[in-house]
Amino acid sequence: MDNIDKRGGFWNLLITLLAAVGSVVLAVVTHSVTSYGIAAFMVLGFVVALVSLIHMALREREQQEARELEEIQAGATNEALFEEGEVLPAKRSREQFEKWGMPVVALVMLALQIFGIYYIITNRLNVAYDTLDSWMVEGKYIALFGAALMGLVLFLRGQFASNLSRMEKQRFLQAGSDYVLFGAYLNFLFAAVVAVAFKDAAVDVYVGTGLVILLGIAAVENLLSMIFEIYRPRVAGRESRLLYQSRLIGLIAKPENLFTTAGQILDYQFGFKVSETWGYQFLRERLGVVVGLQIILLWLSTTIVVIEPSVRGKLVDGARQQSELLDPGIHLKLPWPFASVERFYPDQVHTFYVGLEPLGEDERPADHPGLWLEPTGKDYDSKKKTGELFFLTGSGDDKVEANLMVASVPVQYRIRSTEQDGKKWLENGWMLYSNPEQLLRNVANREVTEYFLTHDFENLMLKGREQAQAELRDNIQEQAEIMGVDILFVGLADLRPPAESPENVVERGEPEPGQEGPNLNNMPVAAAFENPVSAQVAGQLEIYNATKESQRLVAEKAREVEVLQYDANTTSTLRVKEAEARAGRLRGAEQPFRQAPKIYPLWSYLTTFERAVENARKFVVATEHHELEVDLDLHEAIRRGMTDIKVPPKK
Amino acid sequence: MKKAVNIIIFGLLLLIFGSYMFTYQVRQDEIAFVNTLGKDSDPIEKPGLRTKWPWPIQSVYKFDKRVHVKTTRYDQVMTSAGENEGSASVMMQFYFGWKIDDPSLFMKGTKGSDSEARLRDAEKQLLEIVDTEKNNQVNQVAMGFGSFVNDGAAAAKVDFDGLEASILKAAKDKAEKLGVAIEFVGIRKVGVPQSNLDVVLNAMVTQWTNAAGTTVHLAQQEAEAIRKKAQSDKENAVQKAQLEADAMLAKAQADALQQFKALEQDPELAAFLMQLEALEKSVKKQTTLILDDTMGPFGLLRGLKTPAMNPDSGDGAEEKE
Repeated sequence: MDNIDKRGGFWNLLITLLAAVGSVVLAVVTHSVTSYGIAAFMVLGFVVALVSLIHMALREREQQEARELEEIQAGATNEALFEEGEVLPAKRSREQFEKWGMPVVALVMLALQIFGIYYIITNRLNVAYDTLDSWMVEGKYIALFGAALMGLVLFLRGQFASNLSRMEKQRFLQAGSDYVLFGAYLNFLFAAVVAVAFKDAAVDVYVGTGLVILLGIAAVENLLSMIFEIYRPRVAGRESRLLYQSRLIGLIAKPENLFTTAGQILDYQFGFKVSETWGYQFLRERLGVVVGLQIILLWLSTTIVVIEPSVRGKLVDGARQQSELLDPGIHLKLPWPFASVERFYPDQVHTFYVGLEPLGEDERPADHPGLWLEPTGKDYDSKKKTGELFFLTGSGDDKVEANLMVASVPVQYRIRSTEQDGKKWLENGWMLYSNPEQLLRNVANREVTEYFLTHDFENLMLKGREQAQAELRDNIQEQAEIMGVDILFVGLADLRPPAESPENVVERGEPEPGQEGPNLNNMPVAAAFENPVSAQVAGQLEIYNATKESQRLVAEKAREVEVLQYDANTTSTLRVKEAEARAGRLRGAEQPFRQAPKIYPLWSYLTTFERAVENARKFVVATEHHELEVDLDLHEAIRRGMTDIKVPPKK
Repeated sequence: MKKAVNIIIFGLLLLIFGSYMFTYQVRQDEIAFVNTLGKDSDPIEKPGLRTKWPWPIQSVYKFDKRVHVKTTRYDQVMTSAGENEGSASVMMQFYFGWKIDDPSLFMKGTKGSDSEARLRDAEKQLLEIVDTEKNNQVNQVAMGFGSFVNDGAAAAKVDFDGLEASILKAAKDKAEKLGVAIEFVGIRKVGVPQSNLDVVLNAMVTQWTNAAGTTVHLAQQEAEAIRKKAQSDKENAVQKAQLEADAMLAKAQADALQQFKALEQDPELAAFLMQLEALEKSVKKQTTLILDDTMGPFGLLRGLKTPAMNPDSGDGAEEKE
């Protein structure tokens, strides 16, 4: 026989209903992610409480029916009038409920869990993470008191019902009681989240994310329970498993169950009753105290502030007229939330980027060269879509209105901490702004934008880069002087033409039939920018070739002129000399010729003849009165000149 | 022991929650207002810990006194129509700094259930003011995004400092009614509307492609000029050298002529000598001579006869070279 406390079940149902309604109201009022997560769990708790109440009612009816049957059987004859199955409709109803009703309820719960996860992620979490910096919880006071009140009510009822069900072994009451107690913890958690949200509302997003994950785990547990239930062997008379009861929620609601489970595991593993040792028992009984003491210590530790070297802290509390600037070292302050310390990092070099922020070292593809045509950078595509990626620059051509450039300009700066020129820069500069770094970024953006607008693309890319760096640094320094920062460096190494082509920079659909799309170039701008460069190289090569050819022609000219001059010179000289020689020879031969007019010519003739025919082949025909026939073979066996070739002497 | 710890924890929790409910703290950078059943107190600027009745009787609004920085959206701003009607807009983003100047007016001018909501409301109103003035002022001075750019021949038509000052002046007056002082307005970014990106990029590609073509063309022309000049220089020089050579030869010829005149004094001897010279020069190696015995000294082959030998007799001789 099961102990049935239908009244307890009814109270659970009423309280979970109120908690579900209250949670939904808080979710609507606060728009907090955490409250949405809690509302999802509370609605599930109401379903569990409702189902467990129905289950209790069925079981109670069955037990009453069994008692009546026993009485009838006691007063009846030995012969059974009816078969048992036919006379126990309440039992059959309970069995039918467990067979069909519980799986249906489990499916409904799974659907609710999945819907809850989907709804929270799409409607709250996505928005929350997009606006994390400015996230806020609305209606904080209502949330704080509402959550605390609901938490208290749920805690009182949950503790009572949970202990009752454990002591009286009321398993039907257990599931709903777990949810009530779990709801109490969730509401306390929400109150704490709201308290912290006065300072930093991002905690709501993080806790809400955790609740969504927990909801997901509960859904998986529910699904696995259903699957295991299908394969569980049915044994007559054995208690059925309550599909709507979550072990996960039970463990969170009553963490002491964890100790029981852990104790059993330790006993088994070590081979003796570890769970009965003094240490284990102490930990089990005083865990809450230990945790409580730790929380107190943690809270007290917030009175100590450690300021690291090269850091300054601004102590803000309500105890003094002026906020105090803390130097590096250990300081005491009022505990949280009565005082807080805002840290600043002067003397350190900070960097931010104007324009496209480059990917980190570990995000870049390894061994991949940085090409203009394969651009990378944080949020590249979204910035391209909005046009924020591009900086306007001058074109250098009065026929072209403007050029566009992609730039990634690192700016390094240092916050002044020391007193200079009689002014405390940190207090009277940087700390005067609620978000000084954002202001500095804006100032740098302004100066870079203005500088680019007033300078030509080509000038920025090629010749004017060094000057631009120096001028930009000076301009930003001038504007940011009032903030008490020193601009150390402005880099213009990463300026580039857009990688997009005119055709693909804007996403456009297919043109309608009969309409032509715009006639745009499909060449990427970065590639087009390289055209003049390559053209310049090609042009220089062309001029170089022409210059070399010109040098060749000049050399040829000099040689040909020289040859002509030399030839004319020698020819004319020879001609004169020849004439002179001939005249000289005549003058030399004149006297012998006069004195020996017969012999001298003969002598001259014969000596000349001898010399002249010395190397000629000679056929002398010295016959008289005979017919002589001579066949001349004019065929040459050897090419002319071959006989003049000098053959080296044999070694 | 356990009970004592529980009491301490409970006491601490009570203290924390109690302090939240019954006290509030005004810090150095803050201005606070206490709202009692819908009625705001005077601003509290002096730092310190104060008491209050719990919500919903009293609630506290606390605001940061420092300068806040807000950035507008990167929006399309209409300009007065320029020569090109289609590009009479520009993308612009502004930033501005503001702080609470008149706390009472600020409380009256903003709405919200808590301080953050009121600050948000104030920022929303300020954004509307700055956006409006930005549109008004830009419309007066700019004609499309080209007005912001140096076009190579002339400086940009829009002066950043002037535009910022005019927006600040106009927005500041309106923000005063909200109890807020706008400290500065700055132009954060200027860009091309997304619908015009393709046109601008197309112009860039065309500009650079044309520049490349011009560069190559000019280089080719220069190279051609270099080649032609060198060729022409060479031809002229050779021609000149040729002429000089001709003149030199002519002069030599004239000089030689004097010597030939000397030969004319004894033409018989001169002819004989020239014939001898020609003979010597014309008979060389690989020359086959077929001579009869009347020629040269070969008459001796028939025995010693008269010494009369005619050096001019060459009949019957054949020569092959």
